[in-house]
Amino acid sequence: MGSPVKKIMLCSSEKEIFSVEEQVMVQHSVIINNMIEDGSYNHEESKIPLDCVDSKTLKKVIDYCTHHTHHHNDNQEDLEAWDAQFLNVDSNGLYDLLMAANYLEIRNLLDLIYGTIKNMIKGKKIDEIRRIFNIKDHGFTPEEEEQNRKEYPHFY
Amino acid sequence: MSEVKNKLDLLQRLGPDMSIKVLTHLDPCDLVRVSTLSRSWHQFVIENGLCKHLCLKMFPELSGVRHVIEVENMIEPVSNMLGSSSNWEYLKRNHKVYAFLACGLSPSISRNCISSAVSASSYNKIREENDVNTLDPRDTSYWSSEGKSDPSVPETLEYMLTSKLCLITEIHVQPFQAYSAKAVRFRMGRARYATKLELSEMCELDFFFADKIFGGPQWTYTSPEFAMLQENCLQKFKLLEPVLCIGDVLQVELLGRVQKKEMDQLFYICISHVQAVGRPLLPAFDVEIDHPSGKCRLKCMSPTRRGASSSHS
Repeated sequence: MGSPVKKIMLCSSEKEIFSVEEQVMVQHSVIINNMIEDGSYNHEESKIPLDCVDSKTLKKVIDYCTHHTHHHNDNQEDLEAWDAQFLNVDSNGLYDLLMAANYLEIRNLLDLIYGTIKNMIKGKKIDEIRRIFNIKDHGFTPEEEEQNRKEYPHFY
Repeated sequence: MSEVKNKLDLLQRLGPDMSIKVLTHLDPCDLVRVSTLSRSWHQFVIENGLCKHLCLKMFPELSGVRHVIEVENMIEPVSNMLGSSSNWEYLKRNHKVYAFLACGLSPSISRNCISSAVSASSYNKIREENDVNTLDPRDTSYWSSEGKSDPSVPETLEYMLTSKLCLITEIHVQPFQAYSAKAVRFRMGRARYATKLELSEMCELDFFFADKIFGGPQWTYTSPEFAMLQENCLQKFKLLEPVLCIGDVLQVELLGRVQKKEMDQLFYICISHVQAVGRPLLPAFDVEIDHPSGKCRLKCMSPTRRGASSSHS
């Protein structure tokens, strides 16, 4: 325990530098784990550039990985409650997190977001889903829309 | 910047690769649901064959019967446009068929895909040893054939499956005592007459005698022969490839007799239990089989109009 915690540097699209415990990222991100393992990350001078992840999102991702590293022994209910609170963001925030989790290959965060989007759609009426996903103009002709309503009356 | 972002819908925001990943995590009926959100979602789901993707992810065993679905065109949606063979129409057809299968096939594998025993090639009239007994798992009840002096005379048992479209993966047969057969072969297909109802309108015959008049069922699948053990145990025969049975008739053909009864020195075959393992259609789904082409049209009872059948998928 005496030795200092090893840190790595992550750089957001705004060039903001985040210093994170190496173990936290290695445990969750396949990409970062690979970089550390194959020696392509140099602790003295490397920064991992994440050009498609903005600072706000990166901070959230680090929060997620940190919490799940330090609280993985918590009971399932507490973790789920924490996850639900964590994903209480607007849809843009959710998409940003999804893209970041995909880029960094953070499997459990990806599954969590897939599940959240799944629940946003599950059993809902078409108009409601259009609102959630910001679909202003569906682009169907009135005849096609009518056909859909006829074919799937329970969707409307 | 974020204002521009706000105007994009999910597909545009995430791009095609990520969208595919997200959408194939949905439940099948929700995937069909999002395909009606807008023209671009509709196009995206169909062009990328997402229903097929999801369907094969849910039921990997279906990949073996892709040919039946896509090339032989044995399953057709109600609203299929005749004569259009363009790629888009092909994709649209696949979308509907796979959506139907993904929503309609039972998510769990059932060991009870047989609904009733229809007929046997012969009965041992002396006792109550009829083919209905083979649906009873207890090994004290069984069906017995007639006795024959020639051990090569085959016997058949015919069953009706629980739905007109079933994905069958295994068939289990348990002989009674040592009255097994040397080998067993399975056939699946459909009756030549349309429906029981139509039949009774034509003449007052029951299902069994109809075979004699109209000819037996039309088989669409015949398995290779599987060797049977001369043992009183449930013997499991895994079909080389899962079979999408269109129609609801299953035949178990027992080849070669091995056991004589001491009393009359004749060869008998006795079977105590038969099971078909696979995925039947869920209760809300049904297909209508077109005679004589054998193509089936998909039907689904919509949950809001219970009881009424509506065209779907």
